[in-house]
Amino acid sequence: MTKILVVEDIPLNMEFLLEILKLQGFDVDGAKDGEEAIQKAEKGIYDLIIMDIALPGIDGFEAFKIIKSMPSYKIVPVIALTAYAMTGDRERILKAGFDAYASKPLDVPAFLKILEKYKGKV
Amino acid sequence: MTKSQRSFMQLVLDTAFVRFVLLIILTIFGAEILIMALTYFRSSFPTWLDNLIFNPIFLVFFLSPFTDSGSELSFVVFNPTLFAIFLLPVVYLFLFRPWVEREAQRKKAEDMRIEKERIEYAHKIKNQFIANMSHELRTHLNSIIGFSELMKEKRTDELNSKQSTYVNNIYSSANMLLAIISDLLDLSKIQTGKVEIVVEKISVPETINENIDLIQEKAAKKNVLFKKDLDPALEQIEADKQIFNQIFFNLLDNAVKFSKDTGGIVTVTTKKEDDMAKISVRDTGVGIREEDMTKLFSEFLHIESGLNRKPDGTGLGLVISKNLVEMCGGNIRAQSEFGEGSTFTFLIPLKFEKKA
Repeated sequence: MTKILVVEDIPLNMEFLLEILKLQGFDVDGAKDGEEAIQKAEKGIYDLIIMDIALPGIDGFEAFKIIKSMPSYKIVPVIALTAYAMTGDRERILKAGFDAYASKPLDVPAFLKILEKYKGKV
Repeated sequence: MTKSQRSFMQLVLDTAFVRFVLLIILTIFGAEILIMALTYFRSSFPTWLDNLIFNPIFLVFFLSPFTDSGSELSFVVFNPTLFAIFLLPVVYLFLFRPWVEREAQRKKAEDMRIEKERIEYAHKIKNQFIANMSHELRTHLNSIIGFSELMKEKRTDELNSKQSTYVNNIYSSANMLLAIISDLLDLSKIQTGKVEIVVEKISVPETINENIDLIQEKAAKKNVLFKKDLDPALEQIEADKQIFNQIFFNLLDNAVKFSKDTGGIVTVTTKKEDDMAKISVRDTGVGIREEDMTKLFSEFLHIESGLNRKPDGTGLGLVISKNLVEMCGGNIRAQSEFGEGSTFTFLIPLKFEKKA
């Protein structure tokens, strides 16, 4: 089963994300900030990471960089899911190396389509 | 010196008491005052004057007569009182007054610069605040829209019809709120100059058709028909496609939105005018009252006249369009006859050129 790590600091948003991912039959785990995400990534094996950008402490960009520098995460796709949704934000985030970008509020069907794309690969 | 200034000086100097006081002061302190004045104003002297006065020869031969040990002859020739009386107005007119005026000007320019900086800073803070708030609003809308969407999709036997209506209401209100936030974000982004223009070759007729296709469904619901009158000379332009779409689609959307419920005709006209592309969208809708025309493109000024008040809009669409058009080096205008319809026209350069 595809194992997904969701990094999200707002509890209700986390609950919602975990809910829709569970409904899709994914095995999910959550981290409430960048630090916890790095710790969890070090310990566990995830096939996919969904990362918020604005996080307390270590933000999404930094957490992404640190996780991507771990040998076992070189090819693991990381999807940015953020409320930074102004023109140019998508480009800025994809340029940082994220594999895909989705904005909040989440367009669920579009988001599931992105996941579908990576489901085959992992 | 003007005549009035001269006669005023004369009057002052003619006053026996003033002359007496000046004489006393200058006899005792004449040299000191002169040297102090020269030193004080030294920084505003031109180089040649500075070189002339502040050299040993001049100081010994010219200034020494003013000191107490000066010779009798030089006392007559360079009588400190006479000399000072002559010097005072000269110092005042040619050194002191220009200096005061220069200082005042400098201060005024400085004040203006500070005020300008303050306004720019306030503007930046305001836009930063809007951007941050919108981020927060989006974050929480995520769970409102998300959870209500989850509930909407539940099987009907899990929700009774009232509950499902409520959920639908929550869902559509949240989406309306999202539209407002998106517009606010757009506007704040434009105003902070954060919009990047990506120039590419775009085909005007093609782009127009794409946008009409997008709105076709909405227009069909109101029985709105589209007509096109495209100038064959206007084919390709070099512009930002996304921005062009945003401007044009907004005009189309408004034209459909404000068409009468019984249907209407929306006419899209293009024309090549020198080095500009002119695109017009005309509707046969409710029109705009004359007194509301000036409010059209202003921020946060909703047009409230009963007929035009529609719930599905933030009122920021035209403000955004205007900002975008101007960013591209063009302009936008509106004409309308109340009850008959409106025409919105924008002109953008055939080839976008970055402002220096």
